[in-house]
Amino acid sequence: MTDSSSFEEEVSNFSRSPVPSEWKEKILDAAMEAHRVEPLFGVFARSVTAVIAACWMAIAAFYWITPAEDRSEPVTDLKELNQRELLLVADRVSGRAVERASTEIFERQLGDES
Amino acid sequence: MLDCDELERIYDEHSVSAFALFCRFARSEADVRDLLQDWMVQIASKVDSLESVASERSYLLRIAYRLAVDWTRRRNSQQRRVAAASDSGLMSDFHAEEDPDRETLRRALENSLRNLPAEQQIVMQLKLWDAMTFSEIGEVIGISPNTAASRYRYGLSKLQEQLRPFYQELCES
Repeated sequence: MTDSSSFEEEVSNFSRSPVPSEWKEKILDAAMEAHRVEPLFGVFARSVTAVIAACWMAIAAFYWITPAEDRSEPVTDLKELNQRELLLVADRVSGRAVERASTEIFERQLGDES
Repeated sequence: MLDCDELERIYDEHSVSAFALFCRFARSEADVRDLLQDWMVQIASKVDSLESVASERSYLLRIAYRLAVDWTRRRNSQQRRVAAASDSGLMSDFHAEEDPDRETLRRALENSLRNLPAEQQIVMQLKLWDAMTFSEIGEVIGISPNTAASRYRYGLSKLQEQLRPFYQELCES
């Protein structure tokens, strides 16, 4: 066997198979087509993503801004509604009554002291 | 906007190297054609960045190499029967020779190259037929120039060993 360099030279002289000529047009067409389609798909994909993101942000904002009690289920039963209103009124009335009573007691104590 | 002439120039100048690289990974014509097409599609999306690369050839062959490695991984993860079924049109690495002795050596060379480990095949190909430096080879396949050089030496020594009888015959005639 001769030295490595002559062997390298010998084998490197073999010319490689060319790319089949009929491939060129189809491959270039495919590359061009993919390049045309890709930006369009990119715009579409970005738009859809933006819309979904906006929806989620709106939902998050609603939950963040709206107090928890307002987000509870609306009252549909009239009877229940009346009961609630009555309780609210009762709370208010009793609050005023307690306030008035405590004022009277305070005034009475002041009167006794004087 | 994509320049068709630029894409065609890239194809004309580099497709033979990429084709030979893909032939090292895929044996069937259909697979090699698909790989070559995927390679051009990738290049079409990166053609604007070509101006900023130091070596266009290394850059393009690196894309080809990564594509081929990914393809091999995918294929290996699938059933082997898929590859076996597509082995209908096998690709030849080199042009047929008119001289019978050289033709015999060519066939032996193809077989011997196929018997080398994949990493040595690639280095041999890039060095012998693409005339790349070890530094460029290292850039393409992501290894150091020293590793590329040692792979080349191992590969060359194995090739010499296997092709000795054919080569001697050729030298004697």
